[in-house]
Amino acid sequence: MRVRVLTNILVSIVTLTFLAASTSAADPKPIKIGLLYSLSGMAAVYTKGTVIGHQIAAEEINAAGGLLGGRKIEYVIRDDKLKPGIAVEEFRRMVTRDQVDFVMGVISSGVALAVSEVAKEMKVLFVDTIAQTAALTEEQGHDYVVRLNTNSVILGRTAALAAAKGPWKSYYFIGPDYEWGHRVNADFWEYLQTKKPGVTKMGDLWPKLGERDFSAHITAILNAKPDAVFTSLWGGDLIAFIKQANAYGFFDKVQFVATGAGDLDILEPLGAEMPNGILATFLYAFDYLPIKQAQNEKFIEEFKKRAGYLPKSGDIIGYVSTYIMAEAIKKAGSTDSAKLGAALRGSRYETLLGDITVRDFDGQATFPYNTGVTFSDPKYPFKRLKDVTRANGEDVLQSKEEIEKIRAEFKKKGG
Amino acid sequence: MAGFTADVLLVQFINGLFIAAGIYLVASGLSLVFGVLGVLNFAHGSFYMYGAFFVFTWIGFKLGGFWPALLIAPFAVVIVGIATEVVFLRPIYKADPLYQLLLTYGLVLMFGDVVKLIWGADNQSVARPVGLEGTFPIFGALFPSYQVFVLLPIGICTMVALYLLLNHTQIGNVVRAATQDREMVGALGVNVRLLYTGVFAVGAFLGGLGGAVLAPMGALYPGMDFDVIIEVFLVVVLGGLGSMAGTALGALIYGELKSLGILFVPDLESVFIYVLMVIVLLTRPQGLLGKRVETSR
Amino acid sequence: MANLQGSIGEGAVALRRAATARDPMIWAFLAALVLLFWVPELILYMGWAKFWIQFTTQVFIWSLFGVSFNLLMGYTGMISFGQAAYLGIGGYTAGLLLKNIPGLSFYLGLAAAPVGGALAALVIGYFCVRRTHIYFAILTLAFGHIVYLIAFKWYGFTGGDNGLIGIPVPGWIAEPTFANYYKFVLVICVVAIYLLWRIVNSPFGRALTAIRENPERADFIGIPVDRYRLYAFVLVGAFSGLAGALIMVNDRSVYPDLAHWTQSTQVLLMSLLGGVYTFFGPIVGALLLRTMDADITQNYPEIWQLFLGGVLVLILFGLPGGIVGFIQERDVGSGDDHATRTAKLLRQFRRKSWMFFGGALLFTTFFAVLHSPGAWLLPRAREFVPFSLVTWGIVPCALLQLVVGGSALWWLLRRADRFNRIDAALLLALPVAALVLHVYLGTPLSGLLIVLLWVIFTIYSLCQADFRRAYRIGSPAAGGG
Repeated sequence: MRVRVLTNILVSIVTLTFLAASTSAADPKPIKIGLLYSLSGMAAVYTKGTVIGHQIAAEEINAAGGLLGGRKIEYVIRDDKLKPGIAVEEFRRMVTRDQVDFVMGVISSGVALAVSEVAKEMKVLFVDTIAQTAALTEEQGHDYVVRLNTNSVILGRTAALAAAKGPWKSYYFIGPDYEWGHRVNADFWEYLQTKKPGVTKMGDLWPKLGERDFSAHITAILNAKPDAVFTSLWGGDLIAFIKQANAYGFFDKVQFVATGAGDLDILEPLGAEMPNGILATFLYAFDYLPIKQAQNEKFIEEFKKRAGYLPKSGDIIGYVSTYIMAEAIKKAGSTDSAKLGAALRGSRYETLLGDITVRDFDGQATFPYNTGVTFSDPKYPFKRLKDVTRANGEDVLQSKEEIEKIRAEFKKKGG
Repeated sequence: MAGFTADVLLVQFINGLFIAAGIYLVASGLSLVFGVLGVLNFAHGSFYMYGAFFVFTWIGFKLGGFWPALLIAPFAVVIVGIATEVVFLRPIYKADPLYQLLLTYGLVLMFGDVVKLIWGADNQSVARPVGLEGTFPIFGALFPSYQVFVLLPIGICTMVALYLLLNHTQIGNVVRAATQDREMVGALGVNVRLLYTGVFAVGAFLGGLGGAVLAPMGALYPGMDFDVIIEVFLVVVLGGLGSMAGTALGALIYGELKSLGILFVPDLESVFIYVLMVIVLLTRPQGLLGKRVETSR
Repeated sequence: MANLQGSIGEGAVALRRAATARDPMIWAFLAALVLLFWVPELILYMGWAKFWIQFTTQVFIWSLFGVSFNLLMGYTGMISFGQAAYLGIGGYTAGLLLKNIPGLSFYLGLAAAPVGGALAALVIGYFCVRRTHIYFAILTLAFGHIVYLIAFKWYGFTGGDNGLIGIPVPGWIAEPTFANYYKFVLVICVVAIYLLWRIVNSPFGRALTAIRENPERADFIGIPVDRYRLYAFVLVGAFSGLAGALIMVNDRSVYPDLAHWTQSTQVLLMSLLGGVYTFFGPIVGALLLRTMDADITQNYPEIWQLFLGGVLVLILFGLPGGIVGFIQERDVGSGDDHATRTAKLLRQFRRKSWMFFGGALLFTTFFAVLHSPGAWLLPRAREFVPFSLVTWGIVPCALLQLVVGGSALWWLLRRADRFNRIDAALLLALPVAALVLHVYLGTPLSGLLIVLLWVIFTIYSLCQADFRRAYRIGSPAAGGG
């Protein structure tokens, strides 16, 4: 009796502590989705808008009556501080404390791989939305991980397709010194060699993440006199590189091929300092979209109202991926991770970014990726892209056999 | 990749000077403050960040653009620095120097979030001043006008000014005396409190100036303080804590190693400097030009 | 065989002798072990049991890391800024062995971690221990960063920045309730912390304290200062390595971040927060920091650094001895007569009670601000019910606590010079009431912990022998407060 009273008190203490906000009992149980992003630190630039994208989609879905007979989507938003250890802890915490049905998110590749491992063990679905390391769905892939974004293979190969059409014969490489940077550069180079035999590589440079001063790198590249330079630098690093390279007259001497440089988070801060004629790839430019224009405009308007700026690639992914998950939940008729994972794979989805498939053998979505050339558009205070070509994910991604081969090799090495 | 011609090496060497000038601007303030106050100021990187963001804000005001900001931003940082010294550091000078280090670490965390609250978490960018966007030829090679006409001259001027200030003025004598023996200077009737605040203000000014001068060269983002403070520590420890000449030497080595190292072993560029630091620390723990360190007695 | 039995018997006798005659603390450790061991069974049917088990496991590991780090910082006076390096080395040692040698015993892999940590500490310590103060801090920071860089860059060996992922652990650890691993960690940590306790209280430990107080004198009385510093450094490296391996098993992976210098500042913060000159301080620090982490840094990521930095600055200014030090500190001179002692004790008790009161109020109000931002005067999106404090705005709620609690405390402390048992009971009842109030208000756990510390402080003070004597006799010298 006494024990019971005590435990009752304990339970009520704990409940009170963590249940400050009361939910009314009349609503059916909400669908709880964990959002795990780096909300502090240097990646916060990207994740803030992604979360807003998620929220807009959820509100639209909820306003339309929710899913599975009126169940509303509810988010549990957590910060992983860009650290795998903390992300693992948070993932478990979201599952055990907040009782989320599945988890979406993650910007860093290292974090994604770590979280995916825990997802496998806990049998909770992990939907990667930003991190793009191909390893996640290739050699480290399993049933409980899916990526609703492009991956480093799509990135590298799309750029290679566009670059192969140009006249450039010799290439120099520069990328951030961590796994993802090495991977994109390698994907680009390998694919380029198959598409344009006879290209040569003159060297590669690996500045550290967060490098401030690229002047030595820039002159080293110029000394080698390559026809073109490929880069997987991103964010603040890419901005710093372009600004500093500009001052050396770099872009008059070599053709610059940059992944992700066509995204607004690079174009906007650089403004007029972004040179013309760069071959830049991107996932989403706010107004260049041949499909579903009405829905896109509605999204842009809503997003601008909340965030105060135009949506970038990462932001629309939050929106699009939520809709894909909603479709999958409807199809699975359940929020159970195993069923949801199975329903997600092998299906086709009509999204704002084009029609995509989540491939059944590796869980990689086949988002199309774009390449364009920068030019000055008097309508905007920043550069825009012209001559845009689009590569479909299906066309550039590896086939099932290739993925299986990669996985087998990885197993043999003891992974 | 082998067999570099002399002019390639020369180009990289001049580039190394630019890198050195930039890092010296920031590092000199840290070194000065450590020499006099004995405080290894983690928050120095924050001063650098504030200097850069103040420039960004000033340009937004459209009151003369970049040039006035180059002077106003460091002075704004000085105000932040003086407030920091008076409110936070002054009460705990008597405590273990490591407590001061920890305190400044706490301040770094706070300053970083304040930046996020004021300017947001986005990448920002400051355009180069008009007329200096282009290139300037030296020995036939093209270099950025901004580095040639702003960064390098300001770096050299700062070095010369600090040298003259410390070695050929009355204040400099007191400051140098304070680096040797702080108690003694106090006993001689110098207002140590004022001296400390003054030196800390100069340190903050240098940090802010570094941030302001480097602002047009890169992206501005919360977290740039952490990125720079590691490099600054490297330079200062390499040259010798508290030694101004050592800091200049450390900056020069850092810049040249980075610039020339890329030519020879591009894969390991970020490791070089650490290897050098280990070698120096193992053979001369006080740094290249630092004064002798006391051992555990 | 007989020999073995004999030695076991001898060992048992020695252990018993150690336990009864010399060190009664072993019973406290055993009690903690036994009590905590069954916690998972008690709470397993509750909603958040798995979360709590996970959470407590982390607190245990960080406590071990903190207590061992404090042997260096608090007892020997060597403040290392690169302690996370040994955490990383321990994690990578065990992780690499388990991943690369199939069939290797899990325990053997784990046991290699402290060895790895100790070896690394021996090499690095050899170069560092002769330097003192800031130079020691910088050297350890530099070496720590090199360890981090090696882990980050050496793809072929450490897996580079992605780390070693998917390290095999035995099935009984990977079970879904986490309870087994909790128990495993608990046993290891209690044993390890007890070992540290014995080390601290051995002649060697006292020599370390002597070195901290005055290296010259320690040298003069024949303590080999540098060698003892190195021993301490290596010992702590070993325990840190063990903690790193436990973290590795918990995550099933190990990443370069484990060795990053910001982790080193975390453990520094724990020691400072709990109290550097106390043995158990870092445990309190670990508990507090982990709860704050769970309450603030996860839910309010935009301001967690601001908060953490603020806490650090506040400790350095307000509580240089940490929380445990603050509770224990008794500033009584040995030459004071009885009346002065009593007066001093009462004055301190008053001052600290007020500080706890203010701290608790500030902290819990801070959480109220976070919880319902903007609801300063009236609640938002909730109906105001006069008799339900939960529905009140932040300012009225805080004011009510300030006025009611403050006047009650003032009235009780005013009478502190002529106390009786009822007064003592009332004095204890006040923080308990505050605790109950905040449970009712739904204040997050770290807010509750602060109030709980106030309760503990009051109990601790009331149990002190000279305090009891003081209030039973009563002294006019102490009046006028």
